[in-house]
Parts: sequence; C-alpha cells; structure tokens
Amino acid sequence: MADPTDEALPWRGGGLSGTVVIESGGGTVSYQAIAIDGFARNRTRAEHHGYNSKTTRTTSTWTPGLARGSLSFQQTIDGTVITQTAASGLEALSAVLDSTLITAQLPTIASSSAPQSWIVTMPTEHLHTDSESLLGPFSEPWDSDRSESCDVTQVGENTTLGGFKNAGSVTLCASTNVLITSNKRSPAFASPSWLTQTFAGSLTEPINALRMASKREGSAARDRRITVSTNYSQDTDIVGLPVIAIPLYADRYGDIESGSFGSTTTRLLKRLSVSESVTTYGKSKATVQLAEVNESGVRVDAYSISCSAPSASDLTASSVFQSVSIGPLEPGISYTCSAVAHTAIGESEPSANFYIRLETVNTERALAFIERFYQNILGRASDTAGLNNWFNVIQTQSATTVAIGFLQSREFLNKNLNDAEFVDTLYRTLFDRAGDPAGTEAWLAQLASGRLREMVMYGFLRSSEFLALADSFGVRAINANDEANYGKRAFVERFYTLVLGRQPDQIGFEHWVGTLTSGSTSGGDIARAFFLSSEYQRQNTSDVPFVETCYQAFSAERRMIRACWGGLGSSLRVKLAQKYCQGSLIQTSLWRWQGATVSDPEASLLRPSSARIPLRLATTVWPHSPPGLRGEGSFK
Amino acid sequence: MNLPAIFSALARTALFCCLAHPTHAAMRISPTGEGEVLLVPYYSAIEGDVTLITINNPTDYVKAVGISVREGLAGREGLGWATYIAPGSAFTFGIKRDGSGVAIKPTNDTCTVPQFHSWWISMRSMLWDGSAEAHYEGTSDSFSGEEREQAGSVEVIEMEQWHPSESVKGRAAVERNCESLVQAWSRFEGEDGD
Repeated sequence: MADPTDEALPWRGGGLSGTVVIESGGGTVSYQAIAIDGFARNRTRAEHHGYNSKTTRTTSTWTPGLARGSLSFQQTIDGTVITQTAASGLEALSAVLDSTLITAQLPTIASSSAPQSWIVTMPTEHLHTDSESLLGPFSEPWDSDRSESCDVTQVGENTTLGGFKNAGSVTLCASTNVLITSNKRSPAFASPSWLTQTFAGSLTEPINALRMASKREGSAARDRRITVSTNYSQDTDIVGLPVIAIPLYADRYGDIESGSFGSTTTRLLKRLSVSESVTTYGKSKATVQLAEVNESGVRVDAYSISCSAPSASDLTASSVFQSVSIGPLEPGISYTCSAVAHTAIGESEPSANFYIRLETVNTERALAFIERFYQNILGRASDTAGLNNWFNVIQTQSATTVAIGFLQSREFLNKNLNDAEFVDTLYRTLFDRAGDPAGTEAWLAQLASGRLREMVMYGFLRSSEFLALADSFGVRAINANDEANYGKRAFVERFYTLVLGRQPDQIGFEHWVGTLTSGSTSGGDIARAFFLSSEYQRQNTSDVPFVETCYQAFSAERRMIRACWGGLGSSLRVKLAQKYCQGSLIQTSLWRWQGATVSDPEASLLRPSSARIPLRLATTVWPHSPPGLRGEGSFK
Repeated sequence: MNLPAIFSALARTALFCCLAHPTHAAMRISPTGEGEVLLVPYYSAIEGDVTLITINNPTDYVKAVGISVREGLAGREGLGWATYIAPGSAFTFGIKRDGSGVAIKPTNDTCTVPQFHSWWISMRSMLWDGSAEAHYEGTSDSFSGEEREQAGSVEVIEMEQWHPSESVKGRAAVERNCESLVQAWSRFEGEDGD
C-alpha cells in the first residue's frame, strides 16, 4: 500500500514557544526557551526528523532527536541573511547555534561584585562528543573515566569599541554549565557543584562577554570549525561553539534577573585571503600594506591586523583600506602579526604570520652616521634643522633613504662632480674606505657606458658593506620601501638594456619609474611599450632573437613566458615563436600579455592555458607618447 | 477511526496546513521565539528548586511534540515522552527533587506516551522509546549517580500537526484521547510504554 502522505504538500510546522520559571529559595527567575524554526528536513512529507508517527512511519527504526533536522540553515549577519548547507543535520543545528562571541546586555547598575552567573548550555554537545569523528567544534570526546568533556571559554568585557577585552579563561566540562563571574564569587542562584565553574580572575568591570574561538590546549585541532557551503563561497568554516548562554544576576533588590544576550559568529571565507606586502615604519608605528585575493564574491568592508609579542601588549588595528597602521610599537621588540579581511558575512582566514619590529636607534650614533654624510657628501658640518630632519628620517625609515636624500640633493648635484669624484664619494661615504682599483674601475666603466648614477648608488646601498656600516652605527640600512623603489628602477632599466640595447636616458627612466610608482602603468604596459616601440622594431629583430630577448627581459618572470608560449619545451617554444612571431604577428603575439594590471608582472601575467587571451590585432593606440623611447610617436 | 481514515485525514491536513503557513526556507534561530524546536537550556531541581516549563501552542493546529529532559552532565536523556497540544493551549510540567533523584509531572492530566499518572515520575524510570532506564545508565561513566539529574536541559521537537477540523481529535478530544496518542506514537502497539 502506498504511503498516503506521499502526496502531501510540504510540511509547515512551527509556532511553538516556551517559557521557563525556576522557583528557588533565593527567588524566582524566568526566561524564554530558544526556538528553532524550519527544523524539519523532509518537507515533501509529513515525515520529518525521525519522529514520524507509527501511522506514517516507513521504517521500523527511528532515531528521534536534534541530529535529524534540516541540512539547510539561515543566519543573519550584519543584516545580511545567508543560506548555508551543512553535511549533516547535526552540523547544521550546531552551526545555527554557533557563537564566537556572546555579549550580554546588563543593567548599568551591575558592578563587578554583584552576584552574577551565566548558564552556558551546549544542546548538541553529546551528539558530537560521543564520536571522535563528529567532534567538530568541540575539543575532546566524552571521557567516561572522568565523566566530562571539556572546552575552554574566555570571559571578559565587550568594549564600547567592539573589541573583546579578555579577563581570563574558564574550562567548561558539562553539557549544562553554570559559570559564576562576580568578584565576590557569589552566584546569582544555587547550582550543583559538578556543573558549576567559578571564574577566578580579578575583575574591574562586570563580565559581559564570552568568547569561544579556540579549542582547549592539547586538542588535536586548535580552531573550532564546522565546514558549510554558502551561496557566497563553496568553502566556508564557521568558527565558534554551539551554545546557548543566559546571564543571570541579582539586581539591587536581590531579585534574580535574566539579561538578554546576543552572539556573533565568525565565518572564515576560504576563498578570501590577505597577506602582508610591504611594511614601513613611523616613529612608533608600522604601516602594513596588504595584498588581497578575493574569489568569495563578497565585498571586503575592512582589514585588520593583530600583533603580539611575549613582552609587550597585544596590538590590533583596522582600516577600510588595504594599508593598515598599527602601534604604538615597543622599539626593539619583534611582533608576530597576522591580518584578516572582514566582510558582511564573515572574514578571511588569518594570513600567514609576519613579523614587524621597530628598530631601536641610538641617538648619538645615529647622529654621527648622519654627520658623516654632511662631511663626505656635502663637505660641510651639519645645521641643526637639517640634522634633526634626517635623524627623524633615519629613525622612521632607513639609512638608504637618508643616503639617497643627500646624494640627490641640489646642494650635492651643484658640485658637478665627475664620475671618478662621484664614485670616490660613494666609497668613502657608504663603504667608509677608499675605492679599490678593480672596483673603482668597474663602477667607472658602468658610468662611462651611460648607466645612471642613481642605479650606481643603489649598487653601493644594496651591498653587504653598506649593511655592515649601517649596523655598526645601529641604524637600519634598508627597508621594504627602499627595496620596492629599487625593484621598480631595476625593472625599467632591464627593459632599456635588454630590449633596446642601451642604457636609459634620465627623462625616460624617470617617466617609467614614476608611472610604475603611481600605478598608472603596469609591468605589462611597460613590456608592451618597449617591445612595440618603433625603436625596437627598427632593430628588425628576427623571431628567434625576439624570443630570446623575451626570455632575457623576463628572466625573473619565467611564468610570464610560459603564459606567452604555453609552458612548452624549448624546441616547441621556438616553433611557436616562428609561427606566431613572423612579421607583423610579432606585435599581435605580444597582446597575449594584455590585461596585466599590477606592478608584479610575474603574477599578473600568469594565466592558465584555458584562460589565455586569444590573439587579436594590436590596434589599440597608446594613450600618450611616453618619453625616452627614441623616435617614438604612438604605439600601435 | 480506522487507519485508512487517519491516512486520509493526514493527507488533507497536510494540504490545508501548507496552504495556510508560510514556507520556512531553512532552519534558523527564530527571532520571535516561536518555532518547531524549543531548547530550554536550564532547569534546576537542586535543593528546593522547582522548575516549571510551559510549551505554548498559539497556532490553530494540533501539535504532536516529543519532549526530552536531559541531565546536565552529558546531556543524556533522563525522561522522554510524547504528547498532543491542542490549538491555543499549552502543556506545562514541573521538575523537582524527589529523594536523591529528580521527578517530573505535568500540571494536568493530559495524555502522554508513556503515560504520566497522578504522581511524580522519577527521571530514569521511563523513556518514550519504551526502555525503562535512562540513556546514561549502564554506561561506564565514573559519575552515574542521580545527582547528575539535578540540573540540565530540555528539548522539545514538534513531530506532526493537523487542523482540528480535519480530525476527530478536537481540542478536548486531543487532550483526553489517550488511545489515539498511544496508537500513533507508542513504541509498542497498544501500549503506552508505562
């Protein structure tokens, strides 16, 4: 006989509510039960979550309970309703109950010494902890010998700025827990000792928040996670513990009141990541430039950085921009930091750890270092204002920044030193010695060939000798910003020497470095400009030298070449080069590189073979005539 | 009512209820405090404490609910039963200390499976799946005493609903018609699991 409910329309239950009144010797406390809506999994039949009656039961066994609910669930985060799916009904319900931070609304009259307790119940804990494979967000399976399964919870204050001020941790080992959180250790009401925990820390403010993001020490996995699918990202972890928490406290009359509570849940969007790119330092802070990869489909609202050090206070900072300043830093202390991107529905996984350190500068030695620059480069003693200014620079930036400032100063340029005098100045100032014959000859040869003095300066500044000299004066030789500045210059110089076969002229060099720095051009743009320039085309390069030049120009960007030639073996590359780079096709083949958007040509120009841009005619006219490429007009 | 008649009533009921109620897209914590599942995070029966739990059914439908009282240590079921709650009605039960253990009793004589009688029923004495001992008995837990029942939690799960007009089980009939409850929900045919 067919089940008569097969033709039934979807189940539409719900509407039940619950109230609880506890009458005790200390008074009466009441609160509302937590209601779960949309629980039934099978909405095409009256049968659902195993509780089907005998008349509609289709199997002889049934396992009623919370684990049999819907796989699909909803949560509202910052006003955004997101629908998610878990692998099991148990994980779905646990995800619904998951809380990373629980905050309580307490009356302003509450003090840290007022009797206060929290009920912290984990309705699905026994379903998780009875099986190692279902542990999910919990730390350990049920231990019959100890009759417990413990988890750790931080207690503290939810500050007005929205942060969590940790006052300490407590271990909760029962399914239903009563946590006493008042300075006088007096509970709001009596509770059995075997489920009661007392927070032992010293309090200045009433506890109004519980945080549960990390598992108990020693647990195999440190982070609490339930993996779910969302309509934003296929891979999202929910971080927290599935709990119901109710704060109870004694009011000024001694009556027990239940405070309201809310919770926030952290989602880690696996398709969203940030990483440190460049860190620069100020007087007492660091500015971290973050790089982002976002395939989650969710807009990033803010970025935050957290730093910690064993002997210093934890630091956090956030910004709506990818550049985040953090401080105050203790000089000379290495901080371990990680960054997170925040969205309306969750946040990225924490970035890989990176380290920041504000170097300690000895004032006397730093001033002596700068005084050498005055004497050796400008040939005079320092003036007070100038010395103070450069001392600030060397504290917050680097010795390289100071050196370039002196060597490119109008006062120094007006000396009109010849190449030999210039190289001698560099040796004496940056290496603290006279030039050796071989070295001097080599530098002079480079200058004679037309190499820019700026690049020769960087040659000295990036040497181990200058690093040692700066170290001996206790100042930072070079920082990430200097490295980035040098990288842009080396990138541009490389195209001049390898593609055009000459040293850059000053005006053209400054133009390309300037556009790279401002972001108005990318590495790909520069590659196109040089390879498509009439100066290069007038060289009438045949196909094989062209490909070889490509390799040389992009030797540091091998993946870019693979993107161009399909990642094939060398013989096939040449064949492809011959196929695609004949005559005017040389130009069109270069358009494979179009779409490069960032200053890192290696990463931006790498495309999977299936996504490679098809060849098309190079009809785009360069928007302006970049200087520095001889005989240049427009770039077709 | 014979079984085919019940089937027919259930099918019509399902049709009616589905047209009348909005669709819930997915499981969620109800912002209004009303839902299919109720989680009561804490009851206390320590010393002289008495906990009264009321399940309200403000809807126009008869609700079949399963109720589990779980001890606080490991969340294991100590007492469980099924009952019907008529439209606009409520089911209230009390939990208090009874000797060294904990006992439970509805505040009226509503039918349940297993059936409560006029006296307080000790936890660990009945489970609505027909077993007569709590789920933590027989385990190797080092702490298996009755004290672990003195505080805990309660879960209520709605199992089925129908409109009174679609059934002979009107409000009064539902609360008094123990036979229909037993027939539908008892683990064993014709028995109340008592």
